[in-house]
Amino acid sequence: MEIITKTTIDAWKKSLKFILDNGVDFEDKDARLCRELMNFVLVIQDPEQDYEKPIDIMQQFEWIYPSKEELSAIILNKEESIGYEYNYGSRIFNYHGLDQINDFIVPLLKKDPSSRRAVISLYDAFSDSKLLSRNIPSLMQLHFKIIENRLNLACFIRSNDFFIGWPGNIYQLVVLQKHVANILNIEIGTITTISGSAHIFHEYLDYIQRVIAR
Amino acid sequence: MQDIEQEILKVFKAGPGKEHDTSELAETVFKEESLKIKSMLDTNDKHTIQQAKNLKFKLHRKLLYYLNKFVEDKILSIARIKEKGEKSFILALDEGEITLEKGYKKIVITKPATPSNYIEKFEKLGIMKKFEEDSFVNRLNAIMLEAPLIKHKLNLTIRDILKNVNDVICVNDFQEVLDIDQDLIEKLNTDVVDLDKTISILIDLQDIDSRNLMAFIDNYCRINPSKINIIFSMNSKSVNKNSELLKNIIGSLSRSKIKFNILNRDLSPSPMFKGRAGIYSLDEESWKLYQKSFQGKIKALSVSHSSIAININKFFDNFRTDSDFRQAVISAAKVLLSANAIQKRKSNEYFRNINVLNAPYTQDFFKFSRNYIRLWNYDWYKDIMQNSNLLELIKSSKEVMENFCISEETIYKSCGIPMRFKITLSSAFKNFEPKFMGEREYKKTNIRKIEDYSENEIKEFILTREKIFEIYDGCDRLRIFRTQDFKPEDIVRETALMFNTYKIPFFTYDFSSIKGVIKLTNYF
Repeated sequence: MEIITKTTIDAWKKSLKFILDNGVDFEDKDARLCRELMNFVLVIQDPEQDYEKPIDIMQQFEWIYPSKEELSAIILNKEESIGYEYNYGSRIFNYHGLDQINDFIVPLLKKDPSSRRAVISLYDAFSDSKLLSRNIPSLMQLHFKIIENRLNLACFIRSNDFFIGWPGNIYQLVVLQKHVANILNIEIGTITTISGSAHIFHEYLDYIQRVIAR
Repeated sequence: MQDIEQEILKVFKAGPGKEHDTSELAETVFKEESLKIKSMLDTNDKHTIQQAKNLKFKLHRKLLYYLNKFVEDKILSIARIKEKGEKSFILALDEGEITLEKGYKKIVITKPATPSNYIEKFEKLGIMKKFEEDSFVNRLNAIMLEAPLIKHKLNLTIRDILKNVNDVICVNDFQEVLDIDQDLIEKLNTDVVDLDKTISILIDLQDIDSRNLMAFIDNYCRINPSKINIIFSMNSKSVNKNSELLKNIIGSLSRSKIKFNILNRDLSPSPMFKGRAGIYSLDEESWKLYQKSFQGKIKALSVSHSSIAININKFFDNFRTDSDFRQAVISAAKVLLSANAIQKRKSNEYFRNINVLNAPYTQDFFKFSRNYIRLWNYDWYKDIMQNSNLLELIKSSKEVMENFCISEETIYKSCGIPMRFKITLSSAFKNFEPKFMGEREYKKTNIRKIEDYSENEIKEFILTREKIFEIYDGCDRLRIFRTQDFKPEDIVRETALMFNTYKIPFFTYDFSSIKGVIKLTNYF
């Protein structure tokens, strides 16, 4: 299952529609009704032009959606905060003391722009592979690849709420992609998300229809 | 900028949302002098002590000169004037980054954002009130300390954590450290009175060393600390087993007119404790998980982030429908969420000392914490008797509020911000903010002897309270007033009766007032 689109908004709407039409219903551990697709691949060819838009839409609903500043800080801040059980930023920039971007990805791609080894991991088997752990990162792995002097990013997300979570996820990923591209002094290219479980919750169906209809 | 000015601003830079009193500032800004004064005050020589007091006075005067200049320049403002006239200062600047520059020195201070105010209109009407608004974001309402894990530095740890709370510190399993520090209460009493904070000591009566306990209780009664309370945690077996000990405890407490607080562990295995705002607790599921995986490792645990009180009668003086009320509860929930998000984001800055204390379990500090919406001024009893729908309204508001919390947790978690966000409903104490709360409106019921408990009216009254406890997930208190003309064994018998007959997890005997009649009173 793969969708390829030009813009972020188009990607979001098409994915929501696709999951609605083709997903399978199930009840999760908290007894919430979900519709789910497995191994869903989404490619956005030009994310830069509108990657903030899905958040702008989410902020129009009655919930409080995290601000863009908050979302950027989560992905770019290397400091581990006691406020959260895990931190994307610290997993990327301070993974057991290793700055995976500045100490690995950047030097590697500078040395060998065609490298296929520019992969970073956010999953930490040592702390996450525990039976009692409830909160572990959804974003598992990122793969940076330079093609035609543009930085492309592909990532594997094990569990991906496509309505509520995806706008924040895609925003954070583009922020990180731009951050690395800036250091490498190149433009960003495509972004691809591979979702192990791409799902939506039934309780948000009305809102989802409103987004699709926009 | 002078060095002293620079040093003062450094303190506010380190805690930009916090209040700092003159003594605290003097100790930080004039470190060496303060240490010297401290050592002089520790001597037995009257002349040296007097010299130290004079020096301290001079230091404070010098400091106040600069502080007052900052107030004139609108950099600081006076947050409050405490007992004995001591001033407390806070940054008078708006949120954001501010550069203060004088001569060749400059200092940059970043003041954190305050939460979005979705309840402004309710605040203006006196319907809602944030608990301790000045420290609503950068301090927590309640932290629980595990006494056995800090027994050799109990006093120091409690004093250190006092700066992180705006209401109460609960010291759990205090029975394990009864003989460690005989002067603990005396040492802490002055601090908590000055800071207007509360310490709630939880003592489990199962397998207790009664001699140690009575020595502690007698000492506690002698000091009679207004801001340190004791909660006796027991189950029905330990009530029977410890009836002699309970008689002695009740005797000592009642003679000193100190409240006797009882936690029924059969009904609430998790700790409950008392602050100025109301009762705090951990939910049952969290407590089970805590006991299974974390107890014995974490020294300090956040129990409550922030609280907002709603004056119900006043709400319905201004608004009409149930839907208005549910919407107001969601507005309060939004403010709590905004505050929690800032607290979590800035937690390394606000709670650095707790990081050090809890290492290597720093990530678990907020794991079981929740927020409180506290209700004030409504008469459940009258409402239920008249079959009106207040009870149903509160239940439906609770449901809407819990759904909101689930949605927000999902949103934040999905965005890579794994943040627990829970709110519980409970009652507010008058001391939440006496000016805001106004006069209580409640139903009183009189009980004169133990046989009264079997009268229909009393039974109905307590059964109503049971329902309220249920809505509040057990997080409430029933207060029973007693006069002096009783025997301690009467209270022991009544306690056993309450344990065996009613589902009231937390109740208090108050020996402080009301002469001639025995009253059971419900307060909200």
